[in-house]
Amino acid sequence: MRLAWAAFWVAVYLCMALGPLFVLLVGTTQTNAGFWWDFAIALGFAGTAMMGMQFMLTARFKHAMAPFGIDIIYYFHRYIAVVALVLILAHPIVLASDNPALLGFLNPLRAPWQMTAGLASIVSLTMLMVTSWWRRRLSLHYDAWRRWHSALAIAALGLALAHIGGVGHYVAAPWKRALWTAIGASWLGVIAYVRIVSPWSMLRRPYDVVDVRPERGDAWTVVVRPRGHQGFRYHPGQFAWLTLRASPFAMHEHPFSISSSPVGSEHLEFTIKELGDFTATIKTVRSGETAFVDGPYGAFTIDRHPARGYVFIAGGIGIAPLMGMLRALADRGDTRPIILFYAYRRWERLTCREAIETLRSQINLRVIYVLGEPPEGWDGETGRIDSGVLSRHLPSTRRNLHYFVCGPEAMTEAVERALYDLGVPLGQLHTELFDMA
Amino acid sequence: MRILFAKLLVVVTGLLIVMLAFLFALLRNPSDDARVAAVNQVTQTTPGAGVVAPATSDANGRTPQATAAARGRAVYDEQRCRACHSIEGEGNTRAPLDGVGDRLTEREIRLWIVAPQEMNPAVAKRGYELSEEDLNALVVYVTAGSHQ
Repeated sequence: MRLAWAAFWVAVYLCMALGPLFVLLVGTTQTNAGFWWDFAIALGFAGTAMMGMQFMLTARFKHAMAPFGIDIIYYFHRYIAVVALVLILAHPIVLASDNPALLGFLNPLRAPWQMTAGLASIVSLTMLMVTSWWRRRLSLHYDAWRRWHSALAIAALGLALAHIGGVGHYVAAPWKRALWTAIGASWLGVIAYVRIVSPWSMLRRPYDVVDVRPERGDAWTVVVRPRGHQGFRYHPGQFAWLTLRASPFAMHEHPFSISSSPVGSEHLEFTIKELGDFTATIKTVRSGETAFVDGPYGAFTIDRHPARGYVFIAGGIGIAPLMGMLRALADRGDTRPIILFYAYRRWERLTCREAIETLRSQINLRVIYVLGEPPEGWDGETGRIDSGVLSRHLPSTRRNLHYFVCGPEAMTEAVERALYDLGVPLGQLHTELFDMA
Repeated sequence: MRILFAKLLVVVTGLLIVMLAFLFALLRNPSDDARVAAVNQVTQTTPGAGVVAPATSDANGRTPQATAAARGRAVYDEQRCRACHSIEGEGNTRAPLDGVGDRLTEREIRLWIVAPQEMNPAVAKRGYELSEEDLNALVVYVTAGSHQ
């Protein structure tokens, strides 16, 4: 099922990345340019279309992302960028090795402007990749990086389109020129949507911060309430982009899991751990401040996967989306059996511990805490969540249950492997990764 | 596992894109037939057709020679020849066309336009598909006296 969806979206991606290229074939009978020349041209066009598609991938189109979960889309965005860069670098390299005279275009003083535009596009793209892959090593602030990321991306795409239009061989026919102009415009339209239309609609739907309460383990729960509108409907476990102390236009939004239940209240809660530049400022936020929320997103929810019972596995702050699901189960009076594995280093830092203890009496919930550094006299599980811990507590019907795993990447992968070894079908295993900040 | 899945999607997509780019290049370079046809266009043209014409004037008082050169200029602009060539210093000076009429025969010039690989198999220049009249006019323009 997931593979079928994957194949479908890969096909859509290929059509959008290569369709414009193959349209160029129509009406041209022969060119005698030679195989390598045309191959290099194809790489250039495909690479440019892939650059354009990058904007679509991160434009947060809710429906297109739903079957995958947004994390897959973002990882796809990240890794396909490497492929696009390789194709675009290969474009001039193949051309120049076919005809070394083209190396003359490297000199901006003598080259026609469209060649310099192409070169500048490659330089922008390379800078874009370096700043993205080594952001931490370059100690770039996340918000500053995002603004640079946008600027460089728009520059790289704009310059590439200028290069195509300026060279003009392949888009000489007026209708081809029109087509490529339309394609370029649609990518730029997506940028306009993301940067102008979407923030503008967020601006019209503000939220009030009504509470910021401390949680165990250096975490804070921010509670917001829609101001003068209905908010949005969401499924427990989904997440949203939260903007605090900034305009939606400022690109200061950060993704956080919604830890509240969608039932009954219009309040939204985000349980956030102090981990980086932005999250460290959460504790200074006061009631009455304005917030902007863009959501809901994500496929990490029990509502998409009906089952006889669920197993939730959390590591650290990964408890946040699971709290949303647990609270929703309680609010709905759900009686299905739930098992929660919750790993943390120390007992006193277990985020939401009291809330979990309260939920125990409201739903059919069994909790297994797994502590890295257990206190004296602790008789529960210790260490990490591994196949030993899992097999000791999972019922014999474990193959019929659905599993929701949320935590650090290493934990998530280890748990996935352990569950797979225990015979849990992969289709019943749901994870979402949040290493986007 | 989700990162692995994303990587798998990327590898599959990337390979398909490279394969389709390969296919694109193959489709555009099917065989030698097309090139033969282009060469025939040149060899079957009577040398000088459209270049040397009776010296009569058209309605605007221009000679056919001047009319052809004007049209050739338009073709030159349309096809963006100046991206790689220059005339009187205008355009890309890497490959000036000034005096080309003295250096090459008309047939050679035509081949350079429609089937450059016939002149130099290694050259990375595409062959231009032009109508008979456009090709003639272009030859008139690039060999015209003003910039020889």
